[in-house]
Amino acid sequence: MFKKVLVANRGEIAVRIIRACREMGITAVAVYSDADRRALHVRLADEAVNIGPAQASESYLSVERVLQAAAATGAEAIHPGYGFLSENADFARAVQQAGLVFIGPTPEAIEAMGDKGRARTRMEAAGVPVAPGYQGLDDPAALEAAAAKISLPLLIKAAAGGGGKGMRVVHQLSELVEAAAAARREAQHAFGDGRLILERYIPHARHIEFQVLADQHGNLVHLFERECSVQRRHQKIIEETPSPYLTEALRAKMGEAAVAAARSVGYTNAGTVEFIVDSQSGDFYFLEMNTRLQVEHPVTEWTVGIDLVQWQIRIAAGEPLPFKQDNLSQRGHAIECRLYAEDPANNFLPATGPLLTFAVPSGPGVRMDSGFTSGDQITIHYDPLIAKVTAWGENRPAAIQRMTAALRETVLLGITHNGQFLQDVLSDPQFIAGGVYTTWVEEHFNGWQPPQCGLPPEVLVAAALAQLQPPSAAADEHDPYSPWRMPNGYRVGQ
Amino acid sequence: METIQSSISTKDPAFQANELFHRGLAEELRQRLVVVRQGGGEKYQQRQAAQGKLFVRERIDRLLDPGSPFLELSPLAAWDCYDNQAPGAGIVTGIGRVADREVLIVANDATVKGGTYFPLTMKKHLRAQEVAFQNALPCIYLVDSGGIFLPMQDEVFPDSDDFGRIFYNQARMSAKGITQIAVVMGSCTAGGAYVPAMSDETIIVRGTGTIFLGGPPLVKAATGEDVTAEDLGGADVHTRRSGVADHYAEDDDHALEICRSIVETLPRKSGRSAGIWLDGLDLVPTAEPLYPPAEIYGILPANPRAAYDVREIIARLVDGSAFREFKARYGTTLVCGFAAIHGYPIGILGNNGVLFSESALKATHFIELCEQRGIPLLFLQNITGFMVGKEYEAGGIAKDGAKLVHAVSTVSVPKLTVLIGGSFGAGNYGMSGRAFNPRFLWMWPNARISAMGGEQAANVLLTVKQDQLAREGKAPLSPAEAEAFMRPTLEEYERAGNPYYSTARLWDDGVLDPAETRQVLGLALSVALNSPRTPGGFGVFRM
Amino acid sequence: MHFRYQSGQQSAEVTLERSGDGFRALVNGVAYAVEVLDRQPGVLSLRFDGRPLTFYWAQDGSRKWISQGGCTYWLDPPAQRASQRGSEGDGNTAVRAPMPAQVLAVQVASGDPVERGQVLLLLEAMKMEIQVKSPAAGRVNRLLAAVGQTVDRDQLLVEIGE
Repeated sequence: MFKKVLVANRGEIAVRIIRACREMGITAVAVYSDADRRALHVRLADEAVNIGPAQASESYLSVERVLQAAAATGAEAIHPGYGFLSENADFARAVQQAGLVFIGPTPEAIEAMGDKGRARTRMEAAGVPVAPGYQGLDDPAALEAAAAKISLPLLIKAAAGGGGKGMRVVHQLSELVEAAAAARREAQHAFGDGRLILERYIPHARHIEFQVLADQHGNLVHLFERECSVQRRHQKIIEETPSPYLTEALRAKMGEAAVAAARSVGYTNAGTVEFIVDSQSGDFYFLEMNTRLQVEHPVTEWTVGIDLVQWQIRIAAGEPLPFKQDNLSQRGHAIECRLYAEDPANNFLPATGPLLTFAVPSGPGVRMDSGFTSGDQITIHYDPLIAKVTAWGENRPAAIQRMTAALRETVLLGITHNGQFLQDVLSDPQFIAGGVYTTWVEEHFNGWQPPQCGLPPEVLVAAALAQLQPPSAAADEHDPYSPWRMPNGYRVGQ
Repeated sequence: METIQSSISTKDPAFQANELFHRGLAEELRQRLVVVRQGGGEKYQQRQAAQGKLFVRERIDRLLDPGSPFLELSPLAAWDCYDNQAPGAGIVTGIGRVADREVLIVANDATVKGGTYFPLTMKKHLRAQEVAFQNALPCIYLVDSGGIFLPMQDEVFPDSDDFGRIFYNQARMSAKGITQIAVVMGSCTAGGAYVPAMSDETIIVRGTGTIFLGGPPLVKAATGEDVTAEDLGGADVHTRRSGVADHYAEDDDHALEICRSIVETLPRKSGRSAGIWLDGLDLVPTAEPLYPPAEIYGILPANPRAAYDVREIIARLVDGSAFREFKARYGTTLVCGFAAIHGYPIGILGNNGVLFSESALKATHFIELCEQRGIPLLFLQNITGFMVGKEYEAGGIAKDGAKLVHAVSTVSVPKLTVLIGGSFGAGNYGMSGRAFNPRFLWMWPNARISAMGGEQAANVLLTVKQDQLAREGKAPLSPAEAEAFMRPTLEEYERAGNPYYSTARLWDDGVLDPAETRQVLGLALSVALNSPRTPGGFGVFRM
Repeated sequence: MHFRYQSGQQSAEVTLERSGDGFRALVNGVAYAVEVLDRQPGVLSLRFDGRPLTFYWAQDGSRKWISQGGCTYWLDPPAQRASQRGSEGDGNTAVRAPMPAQVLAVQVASGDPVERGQVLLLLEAMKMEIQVKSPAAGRVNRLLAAVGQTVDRDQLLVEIGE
């Protein structure tokens, strides 16, 4: 086993990995940018190395700086977390060339899955269902011909990327050429690669993904699905497992497809195969494979009962998986809610500011993963994810109830966040019935406003009484004990 | 620092009797304060409300930082004067906190004779300005006054400490960088017009605020012109045309908001750049006294002539009852020592009997120490006077007393004085009476002030009378006759020496409940210590 | 003790009076009995009309954040009232000439609806062209200027009403 691991990430995932290292007796090395000088992951790590300015391209995305930090601290392996360098094959290769271990799949596997177009082709060859579609189309005539074959509506997406960038839905053939041009420009700008894929667009699609885990000895299993259909701006905000949609038969079929997909690229370590499921027909199609740890991995950990991050490290260190697919089962139900610094009442635009007070929920079956504590700042430099709240229950209703209670208990002051919105989604009858799809939030919560209408009298009174709180001594360093600051409303003879 | 070990038993019947007596006095004080807080009474308050004006105390409450203290000055001014037509002398003055800065507020109470100035209104206004001047406090004038109370104009207008002095003070304070802000929330007529006009910044309320040298009746009489008060000197005229006022407010609340926003722009402590008394003092975290201040009620004897140990009072005023006594074995009729109140270091002098030469010398020495260390002084007066008699006169008690009076007069550190018992004769001088410019001076309800005690005065007069009778060859007065002869003197001294008589006439800054004294001293110390430091005068001469 | 707060478009006033061990609170005219159960930095537990409630609060400049029962609120001090210019008091807003000038153009007619900031007239004086804008949205109730007319400083030009 490694003695020292460098965590090439920040925020909650860096904290999560550092904790895993600590549990395994491994020395954890954090890296940080100037903006994260006092961040929680730095405070928790055994060692910490500054790798540059706040701008991610100069720090967390710099292969050179991260490798220098690893060399300087004598780390034997690097865990990339998610985002940043996690799906960068060049980085994985550079780590290997530096004589270190990359905690993740091989560079080849990352490359194979990194290009959506190529991945599509490989999946088709491996017998994994893909949505009807075409790729590598550049001239308008060919595009229109392809579109006519696939049938409308269509989805245009970038071959090179994800995250909704360069994505367009086309409902009418007349929109096609212009939409493709716009998508190409966007993709070129975002990924430096303007190649497009044309696919059938599936309305009311569900996003269901399968966690896979593979060791270096040929053992490859899936750890069941995660339903991630509650999304805004093509990004997940609530995830759960098991999916309320899947039947046992469909689950088995999709699980096999996920394993086949991973095996076709010689996958090792933890990864996720994402599928789009047509909720009308039950047909499912390969979407992409994320060759890294997912944000939402805790719901799998809750229900399958294994520690994914620890297994990532063990696999990278060469340990074989001690279980086979048949040994695996799920217990109960788990949900994750992502607390974002964003304004749900204003197109989910990210917010920045101080976390003046951050009180986390507790109790049985509740877990909070965060990279922040009270007093930290949410800055413009990085992802606005403040925390992930996950809850486990014996069944789905119990998990929802527990999650709702946990969100009520969560206190986040000083910044606009989506806590209230998440509570509203959880209490929505359609969510409770399990009938959601990836565009559901946008359609259903359009124009959402916080339900706090009116200021309750108890809140106003608390504000007034808070104002009567004796001030801290630091209020005026010159005159720290002045009785004038005692808000006792003193009046002579009263 | 050593702490005072109290030897008081609250179970003692004498303690309980004292407590009952002094609680009664405190209750009487409270009731009188309740009366004056009503200003001109319900009817006039309602009339004001109908004009959209807030009552003066409401204005102050809304101006201050929510929940912050207000150290009102002389709330019982004019008590029992002018047939009780002028509760509080028709003006509310005091120190409060606005936008986190200590400010002095002078607010007319228009429910009392239209806020007009009686002689004592004048005196109270000027005293407030004096407090502002001495302590470098920005002044906020909430103006709502018809000007001079004309039936008494001869006592309000002509003399040096009369109406004109208000404006003289405003100009002089402004010249010293002490901000002057006027909020015109009612009339500001004739001389009164100069309060806003002499201010650094002025706010005026639409509809109710007016400023003019001559009101509509005077204009009509002088020129025959018919004009409304609003057209003559309303908010619109003064903020748009004349420039006499700077800010136009929709109503009282708005005016107070603007005023707060002005104060926010003031330097946090006027004079801080010059160095203030607070600088250089070692502040310590505040601790409550070990013994509750309310026990003072039971310690003070009901009989004013009965002796008690002033250390028992000090133990209930100072932080943690900690008191480092100076020269404890010398001149024991005056207790001197160092302590802290609300974290501020303070030197305390408390009478523990008649002043002898040694007590005066000790006090002088102690004042010199405090001057050298920049520590403010607190005088707890309970003094019948200096010792008299052949031996003491021959011993030069007059020159020793003069040393103390000299030190008290010239010492530059802030002084606070509380009359906790008798304040008679030259004892008043040596213990920093009103004439010696303490920053603040208060009286407890049991205190008495006069040139000598009523009984001594009556006895002196009786002796003179008996001598006269003897010279005329007449029989001396019988004991019954003597008592009848003395009674008017005793009654007169009781009347004029009473704290309510004193506070009505602004001889002090208010009658203070003994149990509130610690709170008030803390507030006052904070105020005084934030004033600019003046250079000290003398070294320490061993007496 | 008075406290006034604003949150977005809403405003409220709270009055606290000490009463026994606790307070009597008045919120928008309704009285509540309040007792402080516990006070920690940033956390306040109250018995509010018999209900035990815990509040988390924090201060960011003049803004106060409060959380209770999963809801987050923020309160600001009451907004400074903007209008310090003053209306005529009869519901009309007077538009006056800023300086002696000649009326170059009149761009509204009596009865026209106008937006705040809309140009009402053009004046010319001292070789300068001055746009006279509406200080408020409303309707032109009176138009007292005509092209070519010479006006004095502060002369009433237009009255804008509701």
